[in-house]
Amino acid sequence: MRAATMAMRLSRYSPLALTGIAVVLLLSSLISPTLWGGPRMAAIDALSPAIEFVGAPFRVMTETISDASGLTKIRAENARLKAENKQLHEWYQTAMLLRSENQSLKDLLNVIPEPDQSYITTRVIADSGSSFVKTVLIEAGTDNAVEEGQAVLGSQGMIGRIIEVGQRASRVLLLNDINSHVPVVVEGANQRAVLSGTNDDLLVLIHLPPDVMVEKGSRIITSGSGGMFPNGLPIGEVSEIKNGVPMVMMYSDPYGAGYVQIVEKPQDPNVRHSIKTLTAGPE
Amino acid sequence: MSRHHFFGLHTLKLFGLYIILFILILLNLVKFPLLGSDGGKLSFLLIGIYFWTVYRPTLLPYPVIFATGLLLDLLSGGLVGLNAFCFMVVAMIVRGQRRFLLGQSWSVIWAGFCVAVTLVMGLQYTVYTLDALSVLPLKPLAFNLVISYLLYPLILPPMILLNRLLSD
Repeated sequence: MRAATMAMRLSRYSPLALTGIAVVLLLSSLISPTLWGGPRMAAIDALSPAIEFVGAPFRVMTETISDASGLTKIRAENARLKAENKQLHEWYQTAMLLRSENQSLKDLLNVIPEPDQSYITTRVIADSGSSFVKTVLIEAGTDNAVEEGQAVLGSQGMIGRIIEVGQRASRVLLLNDINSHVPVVVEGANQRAVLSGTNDDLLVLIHLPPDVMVEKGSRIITSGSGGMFPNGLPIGEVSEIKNGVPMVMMYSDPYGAGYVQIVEKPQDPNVRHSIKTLTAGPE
Repeated sequence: MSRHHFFGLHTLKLFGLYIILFILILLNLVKFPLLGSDGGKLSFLLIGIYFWTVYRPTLLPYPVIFATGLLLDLLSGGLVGLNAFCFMVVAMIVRGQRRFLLGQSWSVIWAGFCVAVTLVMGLQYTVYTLDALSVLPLKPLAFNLVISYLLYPLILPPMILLNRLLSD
């Protein structure tokens, strides 16, 4: 009798109890965003084949629509590519000349060589499922040597970085998420700044000295500060100056990418050796 | 024998309901064509929760609603507990208004869903704005709200069919 009454009471209060538990979970997630990383990636790992299966028809549909719209534009695209190719041939000659000059100057100064980058190419399998979180899921994890913090590139430039890694899948925080902050360099002005997401299409350039003038069209590349990403990865260009604040449009549409490239962290033993020699100083 | 048969069939139908809910969770994560960068973050799961709370609340107990919300939170990469909290609030309100809703026309029930989805997205917008300490853009929110309103009649047929099967 007593047990039955208790069960009745529990069933009456269970929605409120569950709502209370949800609030506690929410507060824990607000206080420590990384707290739930493990369970999140375990859930993603377990369900990534199902997510991929359900998403497959929509991926095919996207590709078909893209192909169909591409066919109508193919003539104009062909003319544009021919003109671009001609221009690129001229640029190629200039680039070869500059490379040779750069190499001889580096040899003269005995500069430590930059390690060669290697990439992991993988497919985007899912979206974030929320209007307020700008992330995507990719089909590569620790099994494929993906590590937290690696830069992720779209077809034209960087689109985000790895924030959670599972065994078979990983989560990418896109550069336009409000929590994304990346150290960058404004080419031309050669000024370091931080590129911050706004949850909108345009990103904002912050921590710029007030006397620095940034022009519309300036290229934004990674600075490599902090050693998290390699320097020189293209991100986008300044598209407008809004109330004195430069706004940046990314080269790659972060949601348009079907496939992405993950930049592996450099592991060149020769470079490590050179750095050790430098820090040890002359014998 | 017939009781076993009935039990088996009923379990199968129940299984169908939970399969639909699971597919709706996964559809929440799928990237849809033609919706652009801000689209596709639709309230598929909320449609299922709203519909079954109105028509079959006994088949969708609160712990199941909580669990589906929590699973969506874990898969979406957002704040853990937020969807679970929003879905619990919606389920409690809808259960309170269930008798009124059951006597209404289809369009009134649809309007009820529009209120529910606006409430959920409004709550989420407020929490994420407070978390970021910055006012988030309203354009994606408005776009996803409108698409979600229009989505309800499209997702309805398989659920109405299952509801009829459950009544048999």
